[in-house]
Amino acid sequence: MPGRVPARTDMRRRWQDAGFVIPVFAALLLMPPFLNLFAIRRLLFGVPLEVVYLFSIWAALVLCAVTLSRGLPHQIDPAAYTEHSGPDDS
Amino acid sequence: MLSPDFVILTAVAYVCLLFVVAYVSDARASQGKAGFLRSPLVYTLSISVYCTSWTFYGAVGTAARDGLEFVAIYMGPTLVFVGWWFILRKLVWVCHSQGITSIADFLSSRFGKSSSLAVLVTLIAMVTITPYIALQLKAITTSIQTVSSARGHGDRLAGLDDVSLALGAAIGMALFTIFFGTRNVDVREQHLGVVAAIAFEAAVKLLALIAVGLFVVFGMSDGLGDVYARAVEAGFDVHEREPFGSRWVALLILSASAIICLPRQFHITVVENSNEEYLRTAGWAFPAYLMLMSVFTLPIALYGLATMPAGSNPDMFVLTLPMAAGQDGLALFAFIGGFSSATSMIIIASIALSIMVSNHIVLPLALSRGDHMAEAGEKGIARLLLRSRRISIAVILLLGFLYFWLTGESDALAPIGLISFAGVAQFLPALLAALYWRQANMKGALSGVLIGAAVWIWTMFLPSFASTSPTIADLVKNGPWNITALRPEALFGMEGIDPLVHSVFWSLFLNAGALIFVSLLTQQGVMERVQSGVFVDIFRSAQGAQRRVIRGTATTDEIFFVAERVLGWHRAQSLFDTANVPRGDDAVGVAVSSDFIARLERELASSIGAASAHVLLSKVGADDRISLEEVMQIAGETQQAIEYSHELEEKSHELRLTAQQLQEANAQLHELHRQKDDFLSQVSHEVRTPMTSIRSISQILLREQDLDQDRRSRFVKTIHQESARLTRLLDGILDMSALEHGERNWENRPINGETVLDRAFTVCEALARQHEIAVERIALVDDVRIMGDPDRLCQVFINIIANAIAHNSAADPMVKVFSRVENGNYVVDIADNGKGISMEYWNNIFDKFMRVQPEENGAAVPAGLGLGLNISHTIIQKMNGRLELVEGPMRGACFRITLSLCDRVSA
Repeated sequence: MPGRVPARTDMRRRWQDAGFVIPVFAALLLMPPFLNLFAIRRLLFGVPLEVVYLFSIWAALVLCAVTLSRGLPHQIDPAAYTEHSGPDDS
Repeated sequence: MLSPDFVILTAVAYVCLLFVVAYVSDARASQGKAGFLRSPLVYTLSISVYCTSWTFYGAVGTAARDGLEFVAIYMGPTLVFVGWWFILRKLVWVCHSQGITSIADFLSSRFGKSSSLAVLVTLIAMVTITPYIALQLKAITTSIQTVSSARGHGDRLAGLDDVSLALGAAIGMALFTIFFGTRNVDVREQHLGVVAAIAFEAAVKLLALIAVGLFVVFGMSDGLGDVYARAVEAGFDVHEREPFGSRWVALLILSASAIICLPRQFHITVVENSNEEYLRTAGWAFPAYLMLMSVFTLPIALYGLATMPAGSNPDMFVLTLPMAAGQDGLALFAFIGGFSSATSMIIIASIALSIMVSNHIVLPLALSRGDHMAEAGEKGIARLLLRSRRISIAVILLLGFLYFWLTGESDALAPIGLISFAGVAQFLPALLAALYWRQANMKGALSGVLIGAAVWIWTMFLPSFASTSPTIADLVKNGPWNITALRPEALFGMEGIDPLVHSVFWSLFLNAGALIFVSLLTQQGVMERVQSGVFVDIFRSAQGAQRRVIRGTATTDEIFFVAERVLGWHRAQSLFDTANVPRGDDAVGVAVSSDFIARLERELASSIGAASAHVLLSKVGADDRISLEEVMQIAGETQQAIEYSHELEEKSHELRLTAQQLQEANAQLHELHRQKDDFLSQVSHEVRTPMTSIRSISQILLREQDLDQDRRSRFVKTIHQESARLTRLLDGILDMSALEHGERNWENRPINGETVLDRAFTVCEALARQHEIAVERIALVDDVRIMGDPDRLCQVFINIIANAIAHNSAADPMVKVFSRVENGNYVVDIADNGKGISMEYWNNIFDKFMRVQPEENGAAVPAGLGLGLNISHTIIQKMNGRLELVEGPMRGACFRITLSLCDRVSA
């Protein structure tokens, strides 16, 4: 089954990239130029729009984090990340 | 209303409950039944020690004053935890593999186990955290007074003032921390009992805040919209007053760095972490916790603003709102929540600080006092450490109390939360460099942290006293010695921005700048290089370099002696037995492998810090210079192998490039070769035509002797013509090749173009008369200085004019030569009224052997060689000019020669 290994490696890389991109992208969404698009003195369900926006992003981040936690590769030992895994001495 | 007695006794009872929780947890752990205590849930809850009373009470106050700003304080940590895979995971792995005990230990260990860096970081942490502890004490006293305000004249405890309350709180916390935080010098500096208590407190404060929030939003109002509607009714602006700007970004950065760099956060997230996989849960659960903590902040603040009397302290809305509604039980619960957040911060911060102080300040001092080792019995160093830790905790809390006492009623404490965030943010550049930049070195980290901290003290810490001290207020206003460029809140004239943004920008900018430039300009020490590899490549190398056997100079007994002093006889014994290291008489001449030394050093480091462990082992010569050099050599070999493979890669890349270049050169050669072949075949063809006619005619002449005179002379004439043509051809080819290869020394000198043209024109007039063609010279200029070779230029003029004359088949033939100066160029147009040159030849008229085929045969004109125009073209090029075919004024062809004028006087 030599075909499966690269596929798994590929998935692992995707998860790792997602783990990097999501917080960075979220940080951009939470920075001024973007954030000020929603600070327009308007109410949504009786709540200021900027408040709704911030908490929606926050909730979405938590959901993304749940997914990431499930998807990111598990590891037992740093040595597992190298090709040769030796006995851990600590 | 609640009586002070009741409130204070509740608080005391709550602390007793914490003691029980901690004690039971410790007891279970020591029976090996830690189970639930070592779970991701407890770990996540304990991280929420981030939420102190500053956030519990203060967030509502901030929300009332500055709107959504409080969200940034939670958003930074949220982002860091969602991205746990990148920074936190690596940090935890490194710290576990190296037995790191604190952030000071982490930085010192990475940068060559430097003691000075550890001391510096410890001192900065002390300066930043002590006021923070004072703030918690203040929160405790204020909340006790608020919640028990009105009555209770008969209470015995009501007589207690702020100061004694704070002192009581400080003593209580000191007792708890000393009791559970310094029970032993643990293998990994983990305190299960304390962590359990902190997790318990985290749950309490979350539930308390949510309870108050639900009560306000759904008990007292009719949902969220109602809260906002009431606030609007009461005349409050529920929207953000100003657009989000640099202050928001600065707060995000500060809070993101605080969740890593605050000593208590580093301790609880990294040091107390018992399993790296727990980060997986904390990665989403901690952001969720933060979100729940802040979801009701804004409604509570707005409801308070709308309903409470003007002038009431918004920082205490969490307590005063339930009290105003007569919900004493809820108010007490909220008070316990706030009390939890204050006490948990005090406990963890003082443990983290005491570890730093005892490992990096007390122990090095004790070790340097000489023969301490000999006097100390078994576990002597461990005992020394425990004692120094207990004293440190007491001293830290005392300092916090003193700070609280001295600042008293002033509001100097209020902004201390952000000030201390900005203080510890100075560790961030060094910390990131420690994890990701191999070249970062100790001098860089030291200067970065030092400069950053100095700028922070000057631009932020100092101005916070402006309201209490007139001297400092004056300093902030005018700068030291009236130097305006050094004003703390307008450094180098940067005015008009928020003081927080100003300070964060300058301190972090100069900090990171110093770190980078000093690191680039100075060399790493041997130890730093080893450590940088271990830290940066934690997921890559699996500590391969440390596994080799290296011989040190210490005997096993000496090393055992050291181990025993720190770890105790039992653990030292088991450590030596597991590694099969002989001792006593068997061990004479047995050298200890560096593998074992490295492992022992890590074990020691997890108790006393990397720098001290290193010093301790160096003292007995277990890790002397020579063995270190050997470590380097081996590490170097690995590095070399890596570099070699890099080199190979580069080489092969170079080879590929070279091959490509060769290929291109080859293609060019092929092209040249083809051109040469073409040229040769053309030349031979050209030579062959006259040769053939000469040969056949001479054959006729030889064979047929009886030819009449007339024909004979015609044949001879043809032979003469053809051989003349051959000669001209060969001359042309020679001329061309000479021009092309520059064999002739070409020299452009200043000449008068008009003189040359006149000369050529005169020559051609004769030819024109012979062909009965009118030639006209129209000169619009009479003295033109150009650079060139007069003879060659004349040759070109003659060639083109002669062509125009020779190939003109018009009924009334005419050639006109125009000369003028145009745009700084000398332009000569030679035009005729012949048939012109059909479009198909326009592109290649200047090629070799290119001849325009006469359209009707029998033209009187002899065919040209096809070299003249090519040679002319080359000559003009050599004079940096242009020869081109243009649309002429008459219907025939028009050749234009353009030569740039020169400034010098003609020869």
